Amino acid sequence: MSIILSTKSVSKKYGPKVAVDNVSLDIEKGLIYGLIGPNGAGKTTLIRMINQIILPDKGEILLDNRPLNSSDIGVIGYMPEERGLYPKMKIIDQIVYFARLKGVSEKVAKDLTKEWIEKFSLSSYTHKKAQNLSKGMQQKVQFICTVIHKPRILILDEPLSGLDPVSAIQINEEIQQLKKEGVTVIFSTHRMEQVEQICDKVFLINKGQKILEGGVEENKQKLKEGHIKVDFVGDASIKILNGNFQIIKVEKASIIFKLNKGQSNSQLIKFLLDNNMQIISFSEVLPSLKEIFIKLTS
Amino acid sequence: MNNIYLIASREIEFRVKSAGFWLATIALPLVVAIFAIAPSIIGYISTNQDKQRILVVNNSGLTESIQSSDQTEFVYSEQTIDQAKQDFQARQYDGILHLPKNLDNDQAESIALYTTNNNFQINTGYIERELSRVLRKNTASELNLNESELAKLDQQIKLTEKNLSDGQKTSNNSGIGLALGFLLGGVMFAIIFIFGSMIMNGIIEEKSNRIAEILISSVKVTDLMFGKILGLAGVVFIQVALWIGIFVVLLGVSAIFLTTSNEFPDLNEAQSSETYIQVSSSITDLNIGLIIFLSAIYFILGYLLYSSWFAALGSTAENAQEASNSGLSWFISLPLSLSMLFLSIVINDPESPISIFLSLFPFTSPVIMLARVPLGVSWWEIVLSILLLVVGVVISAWIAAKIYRVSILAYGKKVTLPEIWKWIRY
Repeated sequence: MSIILSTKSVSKKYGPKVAVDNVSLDIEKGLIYGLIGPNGAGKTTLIRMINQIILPDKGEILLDNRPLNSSDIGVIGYMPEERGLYPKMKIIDQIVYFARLKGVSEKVAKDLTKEWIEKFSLSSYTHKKAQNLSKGMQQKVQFICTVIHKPRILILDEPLSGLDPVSAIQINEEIQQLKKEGVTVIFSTHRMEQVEQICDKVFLINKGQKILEGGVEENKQKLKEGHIKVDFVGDASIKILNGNFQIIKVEKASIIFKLNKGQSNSQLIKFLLDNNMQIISFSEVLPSLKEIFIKLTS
Repeated sequence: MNNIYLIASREIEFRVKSAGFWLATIALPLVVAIFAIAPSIIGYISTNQDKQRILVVNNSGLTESIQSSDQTEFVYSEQTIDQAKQDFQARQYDGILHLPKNLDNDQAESIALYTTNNNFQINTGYIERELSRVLRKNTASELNLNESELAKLDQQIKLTEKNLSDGQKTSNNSGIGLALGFLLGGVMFAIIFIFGSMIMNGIIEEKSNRIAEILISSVKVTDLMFGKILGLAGVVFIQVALWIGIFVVLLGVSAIFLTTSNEFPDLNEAQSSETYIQVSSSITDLNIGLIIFLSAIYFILGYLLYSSWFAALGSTAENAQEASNSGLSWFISLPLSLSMLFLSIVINDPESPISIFLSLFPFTSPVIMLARVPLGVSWWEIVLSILLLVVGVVISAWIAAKIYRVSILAYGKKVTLPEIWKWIRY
């Protein structure tokens, strides 16, 4: 796939504090990327640099293999974590206004606004002021404002926070639809289960540096720790519990083993069968993204 | 450029549609009208009520009779003053004018007008003017003076002011010039503060509602800042135009009342017309066209200079209180306050070094130079002052944009002057 956006050794300092340190990312067209990292890791600074809100001290940002410039503002749709709407402005006027700021003509902006409002079932709220809408409704309006100008790259910072499950599913479906239409999505969140569910690839940033990148499954394979889950019937014998295989977790009908150096799946199966365990299933346990995150950032 | 237009349009549309805008548009002329026009309306109402009837008890022997007018009727009585007082209520007079015995000009103060306590609508102006005329004529006949001789005695002195250095006649506009100077300086000060604060509050709103980050990911910081400044300028323009329109209408209404109530002015006619001629000739002496042109220039440049700083101040704060406590707030207020503080000093001595310095210094020149213009300022000073102000506007906009760019996304920390200095150099 072609690279739509890349950061080349990008760095940013605030006084003595290094917010982003020599970060290089290649973002492929049409994929959903999870940008994850602890608080203060440098995610927001990186996003702001991609959005040209702040400029990098070092390095450069390329769009379609050429330096990003101010005329590319309409290419990106950005929804920051801290949402913002004019409280006393009508919903319809806000959406049209934000679309026009991104270069959409007034007529097209009005047509698109109507389309999106119907899609999100907001027709009865169009002439209401933002301050009279619930937080979830405001978030939907914010999402429309972000995507209305049909950006090629969508940067969403915690897009599902504060949404009820139904609204979250609706936004999620829209993100998937946009992906199908070829939009590249950068999804910044702390919710690892959302990243696992939505994202194709991840970047993990910590202390301003990129410490992990690649596909979600690929990284799980790469960072697996030899954990095997065995489901069984009956009781596990004392011999099994005190055997040579390290046990991570024991539950009523399952045990998670850890294979240490020199130990194999076959050896474990033989050991369990020799000790009369009635095995129902035998499977490899991959680390969750949350476990990877904690392991790499703590 | 398109984005500046969009931002400015939104600003104008949003503010002009707000209730506050129309409240301010109507409230100001209304308050001014109450203080300025109400007396003439009251005068009109009072003079258009029933004609006032004054009973004249003439014990003085004056032969010249006091003339009645449309609004005041004098009825001569043969009664004594005591009898007249007794009949006062029954005969429904508004007052009794008593001219005592042996009245001459030295005893003019002994003339009395008796009224009831609650009859406060009596128009004494006309009565006094008529009495003055009668006494004057009486004195003239006693001294055997004809009208032209009397006119010579009444001759009023009119001083011609000449410039000490070149002996040329100076414009006869000192009073009007002073008043205009104060007015222009004061209006400039008020406009800068009122509309500068509006810009500041608009930016605080965008910052505290977290709209700023979305906006600056869509448009250039400078476009956003200047869009807001120009939008507010549009609002100022519309509001001032509406105020002028309302004032013109109110003045028209007032003029109708004033011309109808021809007895209302307390000045005698000669004095009144003299003052009118003096005022109108002073206004003619002033270069009104130049004053309007320079006022427009200083209003625009002064507004642009300070609005940049107010925008920067707004970007450093999350609420108005935080903004007013900021070091930058003092930086803005100080020169403006100094301008007002020095206004009277400058107007009293417009050629002093401090006056010249303050009218050249960009942060004080919009108020001070504007106040000096009606008093006469040399061309080189005006040109230099405008040039320095233009430079000031450009530098201010550049610095303000730098502060704005960083501080608009800085939350939760108190912004100090050293920090702002760091951002400017950043």
